[in-house]
Amino acid sequence: MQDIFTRTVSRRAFLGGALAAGGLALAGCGSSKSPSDNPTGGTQPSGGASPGGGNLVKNLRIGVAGDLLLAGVLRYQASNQPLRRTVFDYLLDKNSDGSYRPALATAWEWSSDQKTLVFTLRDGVTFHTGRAFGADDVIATVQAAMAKGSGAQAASLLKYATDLKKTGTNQITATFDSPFPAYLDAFAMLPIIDSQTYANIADGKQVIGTGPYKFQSWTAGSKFEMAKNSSYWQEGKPYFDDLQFSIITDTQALLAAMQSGSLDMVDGMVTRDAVTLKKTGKFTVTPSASYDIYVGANTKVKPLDNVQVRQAIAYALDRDRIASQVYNGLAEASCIPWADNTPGISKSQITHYAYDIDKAKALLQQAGAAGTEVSLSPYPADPATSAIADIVEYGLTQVGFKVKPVSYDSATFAAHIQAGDFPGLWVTNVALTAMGPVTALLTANPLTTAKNTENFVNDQYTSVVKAAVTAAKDQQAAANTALTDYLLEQAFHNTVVQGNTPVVGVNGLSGVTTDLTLAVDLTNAKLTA
Amino acid sequence: MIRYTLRRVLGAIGILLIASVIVFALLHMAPGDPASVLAGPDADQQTIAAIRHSLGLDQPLVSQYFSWLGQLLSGNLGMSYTIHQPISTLIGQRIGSTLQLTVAATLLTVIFGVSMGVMLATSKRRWVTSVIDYLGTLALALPPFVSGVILIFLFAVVWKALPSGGYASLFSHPGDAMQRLIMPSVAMALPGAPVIARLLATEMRRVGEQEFILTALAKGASRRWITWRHIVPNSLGPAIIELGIRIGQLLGGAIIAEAIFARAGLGSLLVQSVQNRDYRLAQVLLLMAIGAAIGTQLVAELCIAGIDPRVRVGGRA
Repeated sequence: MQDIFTRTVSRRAFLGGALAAGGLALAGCGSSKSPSDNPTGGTQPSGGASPGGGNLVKNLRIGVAGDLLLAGVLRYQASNQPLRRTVFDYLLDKNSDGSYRPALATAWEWSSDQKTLVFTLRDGVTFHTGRAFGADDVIATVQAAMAKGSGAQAASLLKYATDLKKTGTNQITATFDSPFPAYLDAFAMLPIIDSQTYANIADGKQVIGTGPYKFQSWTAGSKFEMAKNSSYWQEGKPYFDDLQFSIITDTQALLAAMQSGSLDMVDGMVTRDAVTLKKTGKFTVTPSASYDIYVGANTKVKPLDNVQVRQAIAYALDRDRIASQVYNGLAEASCIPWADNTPGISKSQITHYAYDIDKAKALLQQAGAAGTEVSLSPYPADPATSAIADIVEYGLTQVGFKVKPVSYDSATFAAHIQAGDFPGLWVTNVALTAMGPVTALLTANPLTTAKNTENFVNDQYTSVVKAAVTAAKDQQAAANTALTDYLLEQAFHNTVVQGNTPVVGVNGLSGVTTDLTLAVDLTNAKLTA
Repeated sequence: MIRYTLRRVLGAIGILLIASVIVFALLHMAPGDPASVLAGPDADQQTIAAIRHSLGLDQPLVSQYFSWLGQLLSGNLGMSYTIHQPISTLIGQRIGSTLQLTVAATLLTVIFGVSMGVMLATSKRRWVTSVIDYLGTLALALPPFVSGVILIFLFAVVWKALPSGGYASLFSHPGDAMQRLIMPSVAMALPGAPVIARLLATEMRRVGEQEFILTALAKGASRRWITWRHIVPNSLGPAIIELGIRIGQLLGGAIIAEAIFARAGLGSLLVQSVQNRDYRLAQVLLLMAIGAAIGTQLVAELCIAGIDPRVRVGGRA
């Protein structure tokens, strides 16, 4: 048979083709810095000189890990964090020591019997539409938060007021049947909306607030943009002309975008990657306020209905290892859901369940549950919880449990949190513990008393929570101590660390802060080139 | 040819209808729903039930299916539950990115695949076929999530020659769009090209032994002319089918490449809609992906039928 394929590819032709292909690729590469170098296709104009030298960059490119869910802008939800302190303002802000500072409210005053609270609102504040902000907008915000289906956590605090009404052009008054100091927390976590445009917020057409930046556009799943609010009530601020947010859901892609210089800042980067970037010396990491990362136990499921079994689990959690290996020093080992500076909290409570396999084994033996199977599910949206689950699984196996790892997607996991029907243990967080025990106990599904994810509902729990919620200032510490002791004893909600969500920025970015709702505040942020 | 085409088109419509039932049922069988996503993590069951009622999700599934199908047949894709925008708008925003990537990746697959295939089949130099064979095996073993990460590391992080990802419009920012297209399209083309090359080379060797080729040789036709005029066109069938399948997959959304390269295309929209249990959006996107796969396969079959009359005759028999 004659071979038809006698034509050969000459070496010259082969090399010529390869060179042509290479040339084409290089022509395509060119300079990646021009015309733009960010995933949104935007540009990075230079700005004026900063007082400290260098040029102030006018356009900040920010990477975020999730898309907006504008219909839920009134509630704490990770996806809406980029909006809460950029487009919107709160009535007041809460400090980590539990005190408050003015924002849209310049003053607030409790009556002597603590049953009336009067807010004085800031004068001269306008919405991005140009309309003046006033008492009606605060009342509209409260009504929207308390409306059926809003899901706003603040509603659980707002309902303690028997009445809220406008008592002057710039004054509102709340009345109560009994004192409820934590009412102020609601206004330190509730973005004030424009009552006239709120109906159009869900599709992104009119996202109107009083904040330092105006919402410009949103391409769902891809990007959103904001522009400077030149009429902002804090004179001379903000400092950027534009904020360009790129939605990058893949953690590798988010890391690569920072490393390649396509982004200036990332809000919500996984801790592991934040540490990687910090080690290069080219980036700064700003930790957020600390919040509760915990292992929950469904107390309706055997053997987790036995308190000794739950205590055995608490002793099998290697918190120090979790803090050092998973969070690389960006988290503190802790056994309690609240910050260590919470009134009434002692060091012995924070370290109550030191890692002790022998004690855990003994408790499990006493409970007659050695060798029983427990399922363990990490929160899928946070890779850190998977790493925690690995360490938890190791500890539980050492004690004598048979651990069955169960994986869910984000929506299924959230549905289990809402319904309280996990088949065993799970690992996730309660971010609102940063606001303090009262707000967390009244708003977060894993800790509420009437119904919670762990299905731990009894009179004693209700009683200690009620005491903490309604305690007068001088009794707050004692109530927190009693509540925390009870949580530790019952071990249905086992905190492993006080974690945080780091904000990573390039060197030269300054003034970035986060509040107790973990929202990034860019009002004072500057980037010097 | 008309009867053949008609029969294929009717078959495709039937498959799409069956697919719509399966897609609808599978999505609704998954735990969680848009109401629980919209209600937020700390919502109580009453809040979730109120949202479920307002979205009509408490209606019987059969009635929800026919309502959705009726809407689709009237040309209305509906509104997204979670994004609150028309689904047609959301698709319009994303389809440019997906089409760019599909066209670029397909072109590269064809260029690399056909060049390598012809060289494999025609080269007499052993080192050339060996090099192509090894390169092909290497490319085949590099799924986009591996090659993508390597490309990003080298070209974006180390050399900073290309942006790490993102999408720009070819019309408004052509240079930028091309830069952002190079790495994902190469990553998508790499595993496809060797498959095309091997299918083509094998078929070319088979066709090369056919009598009509020997006759052409005996008549004194040049080998180059015989190769490109007779052998290559008669060997493209399996490669076209393979290419059709790949284009269909790409049109449905290159989920992994879009995630790695932060491209907001239909694939990432589908992932987002499934994660949010945005049934309406996910249903339309899945149906589109299935439609694209069926459509490209249909076009591939019609192309083959056009090239090779035996297929048409066989189809009628």
